[in-house]
Amino acid sequence: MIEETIKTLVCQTLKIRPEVYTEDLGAGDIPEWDSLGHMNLLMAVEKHFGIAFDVGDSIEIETTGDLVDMVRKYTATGTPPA
Amino acid sequence: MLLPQILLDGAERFGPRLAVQDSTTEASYATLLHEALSIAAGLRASGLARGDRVVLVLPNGVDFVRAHFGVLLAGGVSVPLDATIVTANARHIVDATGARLLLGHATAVARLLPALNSSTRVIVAGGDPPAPLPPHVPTIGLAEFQTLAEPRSFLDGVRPDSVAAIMFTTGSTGVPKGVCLTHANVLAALRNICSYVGYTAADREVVVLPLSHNFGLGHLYCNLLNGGAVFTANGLTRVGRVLEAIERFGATGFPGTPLGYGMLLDKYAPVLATRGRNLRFAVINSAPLPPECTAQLQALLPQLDIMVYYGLTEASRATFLSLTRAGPKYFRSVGRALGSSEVAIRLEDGSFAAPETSGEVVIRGPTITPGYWKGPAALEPALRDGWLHSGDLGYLDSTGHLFLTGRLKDVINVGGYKVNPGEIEAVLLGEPGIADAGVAGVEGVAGITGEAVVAAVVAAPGVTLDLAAIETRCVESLEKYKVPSRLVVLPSLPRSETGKVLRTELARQLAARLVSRPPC
Repeated sequence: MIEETIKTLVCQTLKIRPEVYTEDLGAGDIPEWDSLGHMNLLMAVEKHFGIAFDVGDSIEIETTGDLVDMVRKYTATGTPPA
Repeated sequence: MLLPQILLDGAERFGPRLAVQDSTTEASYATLLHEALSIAAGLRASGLARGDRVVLVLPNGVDFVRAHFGVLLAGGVSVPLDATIVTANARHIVDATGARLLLGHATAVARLLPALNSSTRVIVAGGDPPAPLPPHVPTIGLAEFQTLAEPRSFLDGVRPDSVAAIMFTTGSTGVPKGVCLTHANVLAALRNICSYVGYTAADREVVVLPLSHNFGLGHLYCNLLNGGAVFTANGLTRVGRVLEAIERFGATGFPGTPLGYGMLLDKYAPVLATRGRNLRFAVINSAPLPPECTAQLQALLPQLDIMVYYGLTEASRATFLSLTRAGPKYFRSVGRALGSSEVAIRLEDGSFAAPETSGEVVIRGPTITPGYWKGPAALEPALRDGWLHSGDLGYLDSTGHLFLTGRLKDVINVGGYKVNPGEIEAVLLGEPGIADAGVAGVEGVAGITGEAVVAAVVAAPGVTLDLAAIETRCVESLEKYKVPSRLVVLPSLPRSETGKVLRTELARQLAARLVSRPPC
């Protein structure tokens, strides 16, 4: 469920076709995922899930898989996690 | 002196010292020279003659530095392009420059190859192509290329006024135009910059700005000229790694854009404060640095010497200013004329303005380009009486500090990338159902510092526009930084009596409709 939502958010925010999306797609791998796209993506994910990534966590997010893992961590433990 | 002398002298003076590093490899001054000479020999063995153009489509990395200096040592002209350039623009540039050689990363090569004609030889440097490369274009790997001939330089006949590089920028019509820079142009600019910034052999900079642009490339040159070292990566996309590199590399300098620093201050300030504690200086340019950003950055990193400058590809850096040393009174200034450059303000009647009087910023000196590639006439309207007319508006105060106030030209500045609204409007107007389109730079959109591209479209009667489809069309047709951050449907566009889009009014209308956040 989280995976599908992240896929939708990534495609919508970066304006890419679904077939471009992969589970290990990362920042810088495609022109659309540049630094500004990365920031917009994090903001979109935070807004959608009602969470706010800690700075230390957000700098570790580089791939779609990282996003899924991080959202799972935040939504499982409350926002933000201890 | 010629530009590649930087590397020839560097190998002699700083041989075993680290010159350049990326996430996977590094090169000392001696190694870098050897590799660049190997590439030079390979280029000559492939038929390159003095003055021939070589297009580089490489991301930031050691390979870019090897290749760029290889071209220069071969007596060629380097044409560095952004690795994400769209196919149509790349084809235009390859054709316009008559380049017979293209040296590119595998990903870029795979994307661009179908558009190239078979007379263009392609050298693949780094990466694996996403699919087998088509057979009609000859390709060779960089490593193999470096073994084609004995390393040596080919600088006989190259003169200081020979063109060293052609830097492509957005033209007033949206068609890329190549700014020719001679060896003397670049070296004059480097002398000015190094003198002001005070580079030493102890400096180490992390450069994530594109090396295909003068800003990033200038920082590479400055370090190599002084025995410093550069760690290079591609933008702030993997921001954690960049901040980690600043600390691990022992960076003393970290050049950036207001957009990049705005993002770091907004999202990652505590990490920047910790990992950037040894930074000595930061040159920030490509758009005005908001005073609140300056104050916030200075409070975060009190030891940091924050510097800004004003420049154009056609003139390199014309002014420089340490905001740290000048103080808040000058936080909105971009500095005073730098070294051998002269800066003045000219009024519409051609006279020079008195202090505090606004007019067009004009620049004169040894850094000014001799002209555009295959189009010296194109520069003539801007070059009058030896002064380059920038198209920017501003004034000088009584102490010679330049303050920018606006632009004469319709250009949007997105984090340093110049965007011509007409190019985007042409794409939009090619879409069925769009009766009219206007594009403007709007500040405070999408939570970013500086201008964002915002497009307004007017639907044809009875048509409901599919904005997602329009976005997709833009993504497919334009470089990423040109794709509108927002698409807004308006009933009509503000136009003048002659039909010209009133961009200031359009920007005001768009800003009023969009949610905005204060910068920083």
